[in-house]
Amino acid sequence: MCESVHQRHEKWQLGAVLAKYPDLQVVPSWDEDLVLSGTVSFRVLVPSGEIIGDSYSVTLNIPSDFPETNPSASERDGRIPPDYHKLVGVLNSELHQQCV
Amino acid sequence: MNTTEAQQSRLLSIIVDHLDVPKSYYDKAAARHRSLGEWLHRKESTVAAYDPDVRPQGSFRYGTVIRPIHEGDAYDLDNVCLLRKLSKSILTQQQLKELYGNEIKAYAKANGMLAPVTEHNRCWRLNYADEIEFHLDTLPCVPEEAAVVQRLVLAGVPPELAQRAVAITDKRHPHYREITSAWPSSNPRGFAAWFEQRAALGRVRAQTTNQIRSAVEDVPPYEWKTALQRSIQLLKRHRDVMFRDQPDLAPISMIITNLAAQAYEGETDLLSALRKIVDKMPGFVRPTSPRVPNPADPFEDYADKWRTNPRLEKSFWEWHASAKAILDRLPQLLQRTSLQSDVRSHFLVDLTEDEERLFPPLGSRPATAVVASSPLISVPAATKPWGTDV
Repeated sequence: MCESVHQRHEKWQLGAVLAKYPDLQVVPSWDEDLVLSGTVSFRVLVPSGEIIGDSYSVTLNIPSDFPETNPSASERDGRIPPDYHKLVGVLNSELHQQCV
Repeated sequence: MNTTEAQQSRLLSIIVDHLDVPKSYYDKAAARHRSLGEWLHRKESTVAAYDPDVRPQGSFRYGTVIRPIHEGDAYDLDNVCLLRKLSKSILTQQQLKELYGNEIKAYAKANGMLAPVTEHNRCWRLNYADEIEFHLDTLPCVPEEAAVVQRLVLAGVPPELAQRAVAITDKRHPHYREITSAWPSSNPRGFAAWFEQRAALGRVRAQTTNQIRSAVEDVPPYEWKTALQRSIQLLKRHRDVMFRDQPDLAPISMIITNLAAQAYEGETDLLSALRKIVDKMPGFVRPTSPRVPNPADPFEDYADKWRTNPRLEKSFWEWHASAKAILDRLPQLLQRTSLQSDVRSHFLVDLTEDEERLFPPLGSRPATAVVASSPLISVPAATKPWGTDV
């Protein structure tokens, strides 16, 4: 039996992502992709021991055949220049991200 | 229930109060159903001989009406008109639809309604435009034959619900213009009775715990305001807000109402009821057709459109994940400085200043935009965490 949308969301731990990033929301779309959009806040503990906090406004597109096809992430406020850099595989072993 | 949970429940109750409509709206709706019933029974009526029985359906019957998200949008009213002395053996679906339609058009004209009566696949729509704007969808039908009722009973439907099944008309039906017993079957009246049984679970429990004093029979179901009804109002509102830019993708109210009522177990507290409903709801979506059957007619699938448009199923699960996440995050929401904007974002409700003051910080609310609960990433040594190809 093929995987249902609900099973797919459970496997991706969509609920955990939404709980961890309260300002990230599911955006309804006519595409097959799951689209998440909103603000991702985080804190970084740097080598000097300081904690730097910041947040970015992002849109994430997760294709239905993820992880076979990588998701894409775009930063919406233009804070990251498009030619600055590309990131691949920076999140964890299961979730790869491409900056576009 | 601990303090945090009591606060969560209180917040949810306040939000529902913002969504609810005044009792006068229900009274107005009831008056419109009554008025139409009286019209159909007047001496000159072409259907009076068939003993028409008009009964309200939909959210105005269930007590789950919410304000539209756009000020001035019309409320949807539904009713079923059963012609009790008519049988599908003596006329076609088309003849019934036209016979009833002529009466509805005459009613609109006699009442000075300027907007035209419009025909839909199964019903006629009356457009009211006075102080409260309503659409009234009225569905003509005849009693279902005994064999169909028996089939429902054999499928597990309690006889008192099965006997409410009706034969309806549908312009898309292949035998729409033929006299045949093969009419579309439906059971909206059975669903309404079943829903009221589910909602009554909470009412009976509230009575036994002395939370309410009046007898169940004293108050119509739409005035019960059980935790089930209030939970459905919240879930529908979240749906309306989430899909306000893509309304065609939104899960329909009947799916939400059906699944919520199945999941409900008589909780009297709003938070407990909503948690139970959202957690258990997925278990009532069947893996095969019918995906979301009418409990009063298991052959009727409220999610039949999912077959032809899989995006609708995807939207349903996205909505469910989103609703669950909001509920799971409620404790954090109460600790954020952005309570007002969070409530607005999820429910398009503006808390008053007095209401906001009811939720003082439970701990120390972080003052900065980046909340203290944000994930902490440790960068032990790397100066260029994104690698070497920069």
